[in-house]
Amino acid sequence: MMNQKFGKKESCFNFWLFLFFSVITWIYLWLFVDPALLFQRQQPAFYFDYLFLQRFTVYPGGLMQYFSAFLAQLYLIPAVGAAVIVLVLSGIAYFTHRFFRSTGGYTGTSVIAFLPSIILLVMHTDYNFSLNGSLGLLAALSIFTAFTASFSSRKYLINILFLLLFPFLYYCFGAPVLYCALLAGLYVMTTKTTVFWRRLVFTLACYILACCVPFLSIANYTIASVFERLTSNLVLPEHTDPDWLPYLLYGFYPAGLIIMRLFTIRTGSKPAPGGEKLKRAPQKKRKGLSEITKFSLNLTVLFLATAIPAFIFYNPTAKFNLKIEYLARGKNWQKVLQTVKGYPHLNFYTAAQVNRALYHSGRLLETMFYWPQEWGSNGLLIPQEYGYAFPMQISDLFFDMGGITEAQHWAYEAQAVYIDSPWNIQRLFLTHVLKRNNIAALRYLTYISKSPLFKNWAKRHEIFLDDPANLVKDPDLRQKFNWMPMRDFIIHGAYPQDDLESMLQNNKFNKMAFEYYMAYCLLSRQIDRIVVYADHLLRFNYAHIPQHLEEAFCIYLAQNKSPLAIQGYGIREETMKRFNSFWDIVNRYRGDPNRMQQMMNKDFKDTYWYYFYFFKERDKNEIGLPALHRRGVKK
Amino acid sequence: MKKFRIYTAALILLFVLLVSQNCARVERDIQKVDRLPEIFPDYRDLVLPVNIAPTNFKILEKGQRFIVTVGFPGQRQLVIRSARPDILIPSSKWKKGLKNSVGKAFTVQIDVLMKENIWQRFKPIENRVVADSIDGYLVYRRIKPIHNFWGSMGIYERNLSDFTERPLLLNRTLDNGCINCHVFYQKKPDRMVLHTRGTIGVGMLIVEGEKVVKVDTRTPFNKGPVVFRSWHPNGQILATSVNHFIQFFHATGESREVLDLSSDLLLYHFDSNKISTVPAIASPDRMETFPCWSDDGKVLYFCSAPKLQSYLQPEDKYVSTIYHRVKYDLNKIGYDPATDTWGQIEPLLPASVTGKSVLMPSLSPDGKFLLFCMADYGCFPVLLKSSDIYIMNMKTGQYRKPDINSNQAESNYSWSSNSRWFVFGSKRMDGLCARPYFCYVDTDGKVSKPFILPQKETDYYEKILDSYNVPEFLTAPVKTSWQALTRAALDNDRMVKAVLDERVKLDAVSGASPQPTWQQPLH
Repeated sequence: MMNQKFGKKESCFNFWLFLFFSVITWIYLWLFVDPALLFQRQQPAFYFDYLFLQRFTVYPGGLMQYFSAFLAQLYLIPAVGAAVIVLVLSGIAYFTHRFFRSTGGYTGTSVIAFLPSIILLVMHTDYNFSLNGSLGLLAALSIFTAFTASFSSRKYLINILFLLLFPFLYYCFGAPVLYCALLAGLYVMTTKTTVFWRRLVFTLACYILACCVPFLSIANYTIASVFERLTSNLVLPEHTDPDWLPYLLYGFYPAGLIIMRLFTIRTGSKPAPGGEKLKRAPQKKRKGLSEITKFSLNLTVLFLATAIPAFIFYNPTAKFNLKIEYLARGKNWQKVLQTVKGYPHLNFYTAAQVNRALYHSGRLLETMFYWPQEWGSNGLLIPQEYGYAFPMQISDLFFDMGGITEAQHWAYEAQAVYIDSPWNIQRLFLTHVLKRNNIAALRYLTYISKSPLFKNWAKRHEIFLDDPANLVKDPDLRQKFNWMPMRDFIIHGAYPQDDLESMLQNNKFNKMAFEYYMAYCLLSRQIDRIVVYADHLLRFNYAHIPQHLEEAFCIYLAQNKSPLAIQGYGIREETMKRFNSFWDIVNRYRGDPNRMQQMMNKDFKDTYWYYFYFFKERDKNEIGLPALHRRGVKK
Repeated sequence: MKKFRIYTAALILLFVLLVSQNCARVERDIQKVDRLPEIFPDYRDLVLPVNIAPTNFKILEKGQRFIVTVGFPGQRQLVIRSARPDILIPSSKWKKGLKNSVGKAFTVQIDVLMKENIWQRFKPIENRVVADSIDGYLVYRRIKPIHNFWGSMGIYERNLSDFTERPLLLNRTLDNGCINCHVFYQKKPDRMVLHTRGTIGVGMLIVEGEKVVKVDTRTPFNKGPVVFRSWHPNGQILATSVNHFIQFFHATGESREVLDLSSDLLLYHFDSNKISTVPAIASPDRMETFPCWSDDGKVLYFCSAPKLQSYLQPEDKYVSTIYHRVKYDLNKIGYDPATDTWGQIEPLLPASVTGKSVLMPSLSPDGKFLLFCMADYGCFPVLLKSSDIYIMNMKTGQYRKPDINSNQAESNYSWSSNSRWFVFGSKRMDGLCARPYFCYVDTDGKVSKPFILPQKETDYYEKILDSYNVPEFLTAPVKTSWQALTRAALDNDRMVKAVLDERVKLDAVSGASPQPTWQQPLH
């Protein structure tokens, strides 16, 4: 009676602890990590299609990856994506709790049962971390729980069934099943509820199966390297930062089991396999702490144990860069600019998105030097030698600019990195539609219509295939269509200024190509080229010469001492006055660089003059790339 | 009991009446349509081999119900009724039917029930079955439309009598390296050559049964690995090309363009692990590629073009801008394998005559017909929409363009061992991916209408986004395991280095000599 009462209280206690953990991790993941950014980074693909499923069936653990891909696509809806991770982590916490019950006779809930989930939570703050690792551990623990429960209740037939099912489980879940076998063998060998020879047989069976199955039977029907067979769906050190986290995660359970066993031997208490059927020894009531206090203490410890590592390992820089990518993807240009405001240093790929946002806000040639341009032209157009890391970003820029064939080229490159990412498929569909290659477009539309989250998009875009005239009705696509090059030319990725110039020459109405070309010339200090294209200003109906071009013309005039006639426009007087003031400061403080810098920072830091004369952009070799766990092999 | 019998008889009578009424109605309401029905894939008016898998198809005519009646000669009609337009032909009945139809035609009658409750009967499709069987297996590489970077790819073997496809090697076990250009000795699975590239290292895998050896074919003469290849009939020599390809991109149309900066032909001698060549096939003034041995091994067919520098004009800013001027001739040269001596080069089909670039010669095993591609320019027909297949009668030297081409790229063909069938890759379906098509060639060289590799699912080709690259016929399944191939491909420590024949005193055009860097401006 007393035990029953205690059990109820304990359950209630457990429930609140689990709920508390779930809520705080959900809030953390949703608001801080933001699953939408996980999607942005990983771009998981999932399609309800036999052919898509088929590719997961050729290697052990593939089916779990298929399930993982299904869940990971929900990252696109942040609250749901966070809930998915929380469910997995809570499941792990629950099975860890069961693990301790079955191995050591401990029936209460300790914060220690949440430790693996906290480790995985930390791993999930890394935007490259895949859900497979967490699901793998969940699978291993659930199988272990089922095995130990049946073993402790002497349902050996179920255990034999488990051993018979071992190859199948291995095929479905991959290496976590081997880890489960390791734990199961350890569990059986150290338990004392049955005779030695039976324990020995089960342990040996577990270990022999774990050693043989990856290399025999199933292996002949699956195609996977030895390394993959032994590690698929496990978290590996190269997937985490810091790299010791997987050792902590996977060392936790065997170490926990051994410690629990030693503890029970030392204290002489009976091990408590199976958890539920435990006959508890009456515990002495502790004095001094009430149940409420203990509960509050546990909550506090759990909160601190979760929050401290979560915030220590939280990577705001990675989040910031991905956030910019994410906002740019959604064409939230104002938000991009608002988000980067106040950041003096940007990565080159973030700088490229900022410049893209400036163009789309109509401010590229007006205010671009107000924003950090420390990467020079590499912060405008991502160098193509880094294309394997940013294929979709390059595709985006060409797509905006009407370079549809080149956008398609980079979308195909992205296919090698983010295999079958729905965003790539969308891009391939749109580029084929714009190129009037409707049959190819239909292939991609059919493909994406199998994605649960993108099938509505596919339905909406069917109209472009039904009637090509609909293309003209869509303002965004119409503009791209109108900006497409009228004649063919060769893209020289290594000489982007030539590509931009060719884009402009082959479609004189391509305003974005013009502005980007001008911006490129500004950043690479090629004022002569700007002057050559000055007459294009009239074609694009600028109200006046954009600020930075005016500043460039001032430099040209100062350098060449020759008049500059721009059809329809003149340099504004105030700009000339400012330019003179700029030179006054230069001349006045020539001997005092610090003072000059101070004056420049005050009045001219956002001008092209400052960039042209004083700014030294960072070298291309300084470019650091984010770690990529995805494939992308350079030819 | 008596009552029961009466009721049963009445029920049977009712059933018979209903069925006959229904049939009578069908007969009465049938509307004949004087054209062939539209089906996908197009399996109409074909010549089929006796051992091909069922040609499952989808009826593209709109309707609510479908009845397909397959009439094999001397056999009961096979009737397939379906509420869906997908027609799956039972494999056992199909096989039996084809056997009974050898030398004759069988018909496929399609009836479609329209919305107005009227049945439409289309003109029956007639397909002919020939006794010349097709080789039982097809090996191909499945790969996405790649540009610079690649993801997953694999070499697969497909049983042509049914729908079984099995992977022979997937690059997922090779650190995602590139695997390509598989070729079998005389269509038999015991001997195969395969190339690897990428992170696993450049090498040629030589398969002899279960034994696999990786060879580094690079020598001081050829800095790059070998590419296109043809196995000499004596089995001891592999004629290969070494090419210096570059890829660049167009701003409109098909994005990819490939240009060969330089190329030579080499011979790899299996017994001595030596690479040899002679000026005739590795001239510094020309770019030689696409080797193909004659059936007796005494003639080597190949393509060649003047060296790239000869196409350059003063106004050219980049090497890549001259891609459209490069055209290849088809040549042949005599060879005596016993003495390892070469004859004189004879032009077989110069570009100056055809006005086009002649590429990829492939001689039928009986030596009677030569298949080749012609494209407006260049050396990479897979990417060229203008690439079409031609066939040359080797007895008369006359060539013609058979009616099997489309407005998309056709290339990559392989003859069956009996010289009566060939398979080729065509992008006709969507311009996106190459799919394997089969053609029958009769003794006069007449080529039948091509048909696509049958698949179990009728919408397979609408869903799959893979190219079927380098399809090669095979008479029996490959026995070499993927594990053996993987071990050899990954084990660079045991890689054998090919040796350059000491008699080769040539200046290396294909790697050793300085090359123009395509992206650097010329001036």
